Amino acid sequence: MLSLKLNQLKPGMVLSRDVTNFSGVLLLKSGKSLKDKEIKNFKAWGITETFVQEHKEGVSCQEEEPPIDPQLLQEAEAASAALFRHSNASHPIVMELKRLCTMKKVKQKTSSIE
Amino acid sequence: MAISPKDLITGSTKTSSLPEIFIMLSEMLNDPTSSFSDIAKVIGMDTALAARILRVVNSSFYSFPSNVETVTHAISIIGTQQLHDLALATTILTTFQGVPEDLVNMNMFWRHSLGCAVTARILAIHGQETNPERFYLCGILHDVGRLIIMENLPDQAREIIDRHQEEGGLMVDMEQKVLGFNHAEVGASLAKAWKLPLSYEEIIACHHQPSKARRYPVESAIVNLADIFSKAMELGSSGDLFVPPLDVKSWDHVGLNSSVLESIWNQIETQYSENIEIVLAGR
Repeated sequence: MLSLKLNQLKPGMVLSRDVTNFSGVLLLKSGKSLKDKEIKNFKAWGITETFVQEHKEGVSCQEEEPPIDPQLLQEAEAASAALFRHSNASHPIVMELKRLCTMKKVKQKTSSIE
Repeated sequence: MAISPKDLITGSTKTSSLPEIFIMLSEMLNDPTSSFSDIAKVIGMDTALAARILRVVNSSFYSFPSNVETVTHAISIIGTQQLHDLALATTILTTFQGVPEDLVNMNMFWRHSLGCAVTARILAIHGQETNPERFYLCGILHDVGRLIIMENLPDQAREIIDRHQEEGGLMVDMEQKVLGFNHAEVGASLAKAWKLPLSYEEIIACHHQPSKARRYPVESAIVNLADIFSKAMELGSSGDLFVPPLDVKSWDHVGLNSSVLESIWNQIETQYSENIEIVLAGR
């Protein structure tokens, strides 16, 4: 089971949990496969995250981003780890902020090299 | 001789009471017979303040369809309490000058504060809190206690900075070790001396430990997270080397899902750079 953000959803992925709106009304049942129309519907309802099954044949869950220089990534990760050294590293909010911080550092470095 | 946060506030004429114009403003806000134009007249006495307010109200954050050209017009659209908070936020930036430059880079300090202010306002809007402008003001004020410490106790402030950098702990803990109190308590004493609403005092006092807030835990947790954002995004600096820890216990009050953080992050970047241009222009 994989938790994905709305912009990572692609048609063909299969839900592994029911998706409901904020007042609990069912939008799509677990086990259904996603279509464009339904992803749009989730957006309109302000759904931010859904659970989908992993490794459904032919559907890649990975974001297609340009590859990052591993050394650059390592440096950025070390720098943000130093910044977050007093933070609770296993908390989902902290993890996400740390990831965003690392990505920002990578972006800064990449643009300064170019 | 032990010094308390209160002594620091009352010992300085700059901080012991609000600027005169705000005392008049608060009285008018509490007086049901005063009109928008009465309030506008008071603000108009300080032309620099009036100009700053109009600049902020005309920024794209408020996105009014037409240009707001008078203070009366500004009050009628954003409301008296919001206008008061906005006016005070911009004034605070001019109040604290003369802090030794070897202790703090004021431009970086206000950048951190503005980053926190903008973020707190965005988080408050996400959490559907009332009067989001008060969060902006709390963001501006959250670390002001540091400036008061540096101004009044420069030697101890130097020691706090040096030992914080050598030992690598949290700056707020080093303040506690050196002074017996921290900047959050000093900031709260300032809010009290200025007779700001009780909520501000508690939010500032608890911005590092929102779970200790008795009456305003949600508001305090919002400013705690805003401070974390501002540091994680490296928007300016108030002297801390590290991102402050998240108070996990109070986290449930805010109830944000981690998947929305990226969109909030992008929203902050846009609003922050606009805000810096308006508020720190020429500083």
